[in-house]
Amino acid sequence: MALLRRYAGLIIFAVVMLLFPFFADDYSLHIGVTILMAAALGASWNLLTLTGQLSLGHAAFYGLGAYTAALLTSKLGTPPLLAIPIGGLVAAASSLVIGSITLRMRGIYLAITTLAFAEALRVATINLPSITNGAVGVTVNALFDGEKAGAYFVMAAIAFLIALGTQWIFQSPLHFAFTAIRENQEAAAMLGIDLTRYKLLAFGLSAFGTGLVGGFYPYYVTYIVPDNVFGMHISVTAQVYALFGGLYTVMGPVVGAGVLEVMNEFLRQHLEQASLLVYGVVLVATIVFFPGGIVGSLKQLWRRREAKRAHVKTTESL
Amino acid sequence: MNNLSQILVNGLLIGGVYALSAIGLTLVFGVMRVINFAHGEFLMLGGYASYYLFTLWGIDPILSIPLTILLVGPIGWLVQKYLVARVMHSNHLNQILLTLGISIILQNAALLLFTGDHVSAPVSYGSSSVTLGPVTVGVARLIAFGLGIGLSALLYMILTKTEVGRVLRAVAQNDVSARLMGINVEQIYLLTYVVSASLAAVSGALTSVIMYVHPLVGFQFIVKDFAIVVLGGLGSVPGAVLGALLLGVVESFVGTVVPNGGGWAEGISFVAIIVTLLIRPKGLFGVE
Repeated sequence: MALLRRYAGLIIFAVVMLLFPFFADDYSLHIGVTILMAAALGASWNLLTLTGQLSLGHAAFYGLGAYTAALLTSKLGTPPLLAIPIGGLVAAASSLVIGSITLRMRGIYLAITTLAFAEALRVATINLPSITNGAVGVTVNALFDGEKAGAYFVMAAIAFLIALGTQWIFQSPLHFAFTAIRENQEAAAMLGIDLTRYKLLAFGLSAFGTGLVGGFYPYYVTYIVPDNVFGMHISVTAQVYALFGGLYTVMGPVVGAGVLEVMNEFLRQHLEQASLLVYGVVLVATIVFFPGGIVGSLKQLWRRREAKRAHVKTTESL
Repeated sequence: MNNLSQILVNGLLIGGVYALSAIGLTLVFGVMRVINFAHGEFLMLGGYASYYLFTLWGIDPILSIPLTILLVGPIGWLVQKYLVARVMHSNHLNQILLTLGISIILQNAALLLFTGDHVSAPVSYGSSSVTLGPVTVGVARLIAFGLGIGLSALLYMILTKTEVGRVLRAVAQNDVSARLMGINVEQIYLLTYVVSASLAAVSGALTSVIMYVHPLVGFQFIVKDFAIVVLGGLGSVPGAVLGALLLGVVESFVGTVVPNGGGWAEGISFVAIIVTLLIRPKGLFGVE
């Protein structure tokens, strides 16, 4: 029973994901893909924050994944299902380089460096047209000739993989190492936890997940440009999904992505180019009013109810 | 040779404007230990304030600087009092994400209010220049540089020579002890944040004269500001000024030597951060 409850979130996620396409038209399927991409992005970013590290430039890994995959396919004819994981690996490799330079420093340096890294990659992609086609961008064929359901299941697999990975971390000894580093880095080091190793591991996994989502993107929209995949909006939305849904939880980023993307679908037409405004407001409101996010707040409510019930039981038995 | 000194001077001049924005960022970090990602947006707001004062009422952007500060300063006050103050005792993750959220709200509100167009204040002396020996410099850029360096020097003097400066440094060193000594730390945080926002606003006013202002101009500047404060040492005002001049010169060289070098600005900032972290992580003037 306890086992079932632990996996409840993941099981519901899997069932909803598998059943959804049978009831969805093309438009709903498209919203589904958007939500899954958002969920996977938020969950990947969340993996890094498990160790208390803050990246403000996840667009770097997303863009690296997207460009690696799209260029492999358009220049070498690599099949998409192979190019996507390679995109993830390239993103992970770059995170290890950035990580090994910044991790010796205090956390704020990682935030600053990742932000600048994403911007540097954006201008490099624009300014190196011989490799990247520059601002013109890269065009690829749609996954499964534009068959929406196929693309949906590929993205669903990526999102589920990342959620499963997070669950695995939560149940493995890694969870203790990550949490210890997040709560008190010095104390964790005193206990013999290898800070660099675990921080790099979290960073690499997080970048890999982000690179997978980025790798999927070009085959879904068939066309990428630097501003689109290296843009600040990627880094910001990734954070907001995770934070709004609930940091340090498995299902938080998925829930956050679902709520926000549905909301965004309605607000988009009113705000047009300023659609990021909503994410800014949600970010500020979450931190100021309910830092636990949706899932965190629900868990707290649940715990309070359990505690009350336990209290009633003990008083009755007395 | 002439060309070289011209590149150098161009870089130094723009560095003066960068300095003004970067010292505000480093001041907030030094006193409050908060990395303020919304810093660039005060620059953007200052730029729009000065642009509208010029186009609507014909007030010169340099002369309207006090007005610009009067318009932007209160926004900084509100942001600190009602938002940033709430996370002063929180972890750095919450602090950074909050200021980032504020930055995104201001950017997108500006997009809705002012549209995404690039604007600038076309002052009469905008295209006039003076020749000093082997180099020619724009009058507007010269004024901007003078103001940038002048205000940076003024801030440094205030920090090191006055009572207010002593109190600020006390809070920067140890906020708990400062509180025990009877200093109203919250008040000092408010003052610091408003001064920092005002410095950014002045930098924005100068930007509206010598360059362009648009809703995302603050984001362009914050990337440079980060490179500058890492280069100069987080929290150090002289370091930020030196870092700003250095970044200005490097950008100027790359902009001239590399084809389409102007497009590499963000790349240069990133390289500056990485090189600093590899060679001298605490920066030129860093204390920790």
